[in-house]
Amino acid sequence: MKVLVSEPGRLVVQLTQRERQEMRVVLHAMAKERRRAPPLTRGDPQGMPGDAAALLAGELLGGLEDARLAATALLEDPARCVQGKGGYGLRTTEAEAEGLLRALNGARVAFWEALGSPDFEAGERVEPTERNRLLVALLEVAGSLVGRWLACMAGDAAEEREE
Amino acid sequence: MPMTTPAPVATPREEAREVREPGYLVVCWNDPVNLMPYVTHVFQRVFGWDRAKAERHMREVHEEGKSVLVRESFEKAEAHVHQLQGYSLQATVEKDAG
Repeated sequence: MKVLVSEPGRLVVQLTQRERQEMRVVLHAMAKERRRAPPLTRGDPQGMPGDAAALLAGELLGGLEDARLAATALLEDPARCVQGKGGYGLRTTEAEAEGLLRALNGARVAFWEALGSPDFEAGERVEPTERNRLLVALLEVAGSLVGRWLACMAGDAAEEREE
Repeated sequence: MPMTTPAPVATPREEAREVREPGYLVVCWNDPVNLMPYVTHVFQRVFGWDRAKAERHMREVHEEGKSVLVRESFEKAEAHVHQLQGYSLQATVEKDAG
């Protein structure tokens, strides 16, 4: 991933073919995992009726799905993700860059939740099933993409990887 | 014969004022999944903080388990929490007991 243009409201990033494909796979796989709706509070400062809580949770998860769809459409749009010699030139507005970041991180969290929300740093492990192995791989790839995309948004030239 | 004094009951106007007053905390909780640079970025984005302040709160979340980000009215606190949750951070509104 390499920043080609970074100016207010506009970001153009060069993606390798592999990076674009990783993004597409992660966003596609995210759609299959059901996210949990987070609680508004851990105490009880302001009891919220069940219907209102459900409505807000639905809105939140719908927002993440919108971000996923928008990011996918961006990567598939030949006018916005332009194929060239070195891979693809992804042209985004500031809002689109932010949406792609949210979607990639949302995917990472979705895979983590599907694994049972383990704390790997604390030594927790998951059953070595085929599905869990796939989820762990997706979690790692999504995390790597989040880190590299963040670096591009910050204007840093992220490490370019060879195909 | 025992005498009882009825407990004071908040009127709708008092309840509305309480909700508007800045007595609610936006708390972000540590989790094992969101990356530290991502959390810093989200704090900058949602609250308009500079990098140093955002990193200070991110480290507090990571090291202490949580960080109180802002103190607001219930509506504003709730809006911030929904923004943070929209970025997949674990955030809640808590009533300020202090």
